[in-house]
Amino acid sequence: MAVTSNLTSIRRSKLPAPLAVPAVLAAVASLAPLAYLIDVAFDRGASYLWGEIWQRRTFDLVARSGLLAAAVTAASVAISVPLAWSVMRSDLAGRRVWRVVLALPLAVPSYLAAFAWISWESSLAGFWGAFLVLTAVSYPYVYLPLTAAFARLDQALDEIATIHGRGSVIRLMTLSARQCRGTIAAGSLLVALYVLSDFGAVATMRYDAFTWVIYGAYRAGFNPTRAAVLALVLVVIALMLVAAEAMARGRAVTTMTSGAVARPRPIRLRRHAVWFQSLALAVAVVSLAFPVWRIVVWVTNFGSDDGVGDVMSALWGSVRYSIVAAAITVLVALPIGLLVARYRSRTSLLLDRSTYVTHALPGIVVAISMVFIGVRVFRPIYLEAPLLVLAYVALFLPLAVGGIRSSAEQIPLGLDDVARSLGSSPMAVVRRVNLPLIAPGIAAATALVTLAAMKELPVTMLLRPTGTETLATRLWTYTTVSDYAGAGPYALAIIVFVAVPTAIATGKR
Amino acid sequence: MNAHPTLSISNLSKTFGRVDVLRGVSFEAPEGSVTAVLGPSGQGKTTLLRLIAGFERVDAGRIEIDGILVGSPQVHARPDRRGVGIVPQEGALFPHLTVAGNIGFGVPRGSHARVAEMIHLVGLDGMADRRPSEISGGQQQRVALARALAPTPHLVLLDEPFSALDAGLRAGIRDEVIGILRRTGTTTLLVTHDQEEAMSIADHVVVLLGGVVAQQGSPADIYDHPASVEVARFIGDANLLSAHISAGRVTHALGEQACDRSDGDATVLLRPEQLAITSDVAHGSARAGVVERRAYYGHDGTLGVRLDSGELVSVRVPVDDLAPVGTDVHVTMRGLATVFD
Repeated sequence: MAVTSNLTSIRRSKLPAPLAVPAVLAAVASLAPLAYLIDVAFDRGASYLWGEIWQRRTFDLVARSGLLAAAVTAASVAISVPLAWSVMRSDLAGRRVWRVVLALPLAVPSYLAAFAWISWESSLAGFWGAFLVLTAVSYPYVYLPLTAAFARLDQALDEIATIHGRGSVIRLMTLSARQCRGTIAAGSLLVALYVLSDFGAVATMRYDAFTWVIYGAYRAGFNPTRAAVLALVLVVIALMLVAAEAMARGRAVTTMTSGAVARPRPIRLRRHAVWFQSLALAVAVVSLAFPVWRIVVWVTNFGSDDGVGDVMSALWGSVRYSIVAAAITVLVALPIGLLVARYRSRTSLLLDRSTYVTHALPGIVVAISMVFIGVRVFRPIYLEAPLLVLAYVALFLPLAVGGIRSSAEQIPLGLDDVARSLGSSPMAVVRRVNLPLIAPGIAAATALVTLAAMKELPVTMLLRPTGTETLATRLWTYTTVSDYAGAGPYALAIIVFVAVPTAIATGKR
Repeated sequence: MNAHPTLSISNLSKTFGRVDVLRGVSFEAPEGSVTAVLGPSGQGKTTLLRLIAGFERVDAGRIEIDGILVGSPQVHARPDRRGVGIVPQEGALFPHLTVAGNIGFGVPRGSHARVAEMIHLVGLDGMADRRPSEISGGQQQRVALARALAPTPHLVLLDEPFSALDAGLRAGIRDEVIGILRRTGTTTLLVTHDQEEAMSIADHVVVLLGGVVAQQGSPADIYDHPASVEVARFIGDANLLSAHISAGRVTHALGEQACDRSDGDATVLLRPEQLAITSDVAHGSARAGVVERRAYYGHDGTLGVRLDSGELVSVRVPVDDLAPVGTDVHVTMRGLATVFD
């Protein structure tokens, strides 16, 4: 017998127009940056485009970015499996604290971590620095879903394995990890996507990956086509990763064991405990303690020319556009999230897919395509606040849709049916049932988008209104001229006002 | 009495992709009656309810409520305009609203008197300000009922409303809910897979097997005169024995009787309560066998008896007659067997 109500097992297919029209418009508009990118890339004709692509330096670029993505992904899996397994399945001392601490690096902006490391040891610049920093901030994309997957894993398998003499700690860990292959694959693809999209770490570490080279081509001026062509190549690769991730995630669900899962009895690590403790400690030091310590050192030991007033004005610069952008992003995301979560139709499927596409657009790509749009279409608002806000909306729409969607999916569909039978129109159902129930999700999505926009670097850098400074752009400016003392206060402000609230907001969700 | 039945379904069909979920379903629910749609899971019951409520469109046939066409391939009245209340499995209360907020959802704002009346009707006085999470499963079910009744619907649909409740509470809450529906004279359509539930509370039972109406009628009708072997097997315990018809008589392992069907092989139905254990071995219809299974239900029990002729039959017996497994017994029948081709 079905656990859920029979009445509600089939979803309706007709979309209410007051939701569908804005949702479709928003989705189409969110694809505008990509459309402009394609337009600019084809400016000089298809043959020129192919000429740009079929070049030694393009292949070298793909190889360098690919190598970095592969190395960071492999390292992330290598540390996430033992970390996630030991905090979820073993008797590791302090595992409840570790569970939380090890998820925190997700809140650290990559350029901030990169700043901390390069200001300590300048020879880290290049591949190894980028590898270290990106692994430190992106491994939670594997670690977090894996902890959830391990929590759901049936402990009976551990018991059977122990009975059959496969009881060594390493073997049990491998056995559990193998059952969560799908989750690991999906997380790995997210890490790879993060690495390819990241601007801050590779830029600070001066590693010639896609985003940094695209920025260089854009800065060199005169030839926007090359920047657009490279951006397009990056988007194609990112799209493949997003598609692969969606497939892996779909498969990950089926590998989960079903039925009543008893709370797993922790596996005793005994003499192996020291290795797992050391690993957790090392990861926490590299990803969290070291960056924070370095920044505190810079702030306390070296004077900055900038006073509290400068930092506060940069903070205000970060906050005001971010809040406006977050409010608009969530408003735009609402109809899309509701339709994707609660209706099954060709339109809602297409809306869902469109967020995959925007999700695959790295910040630097959104930034330069918005520059193109600004120069060609919205000349009056180029380098004005509205264009910056629009760019944030385009960049963070998938984040907001994801938040709203996941909270809307938790409302049983039966509630909509009951409300309809009680005389409510489809829009009245949205107003009286759906919106009140997803209000916490809306608040969380707004907070997350605000914080994400506050720490965003490439879009802010290229599109901020003339004269506006934000925490991220200040930090960036000082870092590029190796003025670490000057950068210190801004880095500290980002930790206090962005990273810590992000960690709290994410943790609550 | 209204000239039209409250609900009239004729020749209703629904297809999902290539699957015919409902084929030519017809039945009526008179005003104030309780009708049960009975069938195993996955036989189209849910689709039928969703069509009546207006959540799905009709592919063929007609749905009329109070004589007004609400669903046909050409006509589709919106669910919010049908006046059909629904009580889903597990209640589906709005978690953000209080008991009063839930009950008042479908009535105009400010209808406090109506809400209070409904709260009193379902016996939840003093609980108006509780949240759904603060009341028991049975109370939630009563709130769901009051919520459905508050806008005075033409018809209330109950979708397996009791199956999520603990077995111990189920019968009590069921009687209470049906009692309220009968008191208010509400026309009720109940969907269930539980034949005991359908038989005990409904005036009229529609047996839905494989998307078609296999039989409809009063509970006694269906139990005593099942239209097919499938219905007989689904409703209640059934001894289905192979039989042979010859020259106007049907013969089976436990006896014979007159039969007007043409000669050939047939199947007969004997309910366990038509059989008995007898000590009168000389009686003409007594057949010898050995007890192979034994089930004790408190008020009575059943014995599975392997007849010497090879058939295993189920016999309902008083507790005193519950012989141990392995005992030699004699089985007799009373009444007439139902004969199927």
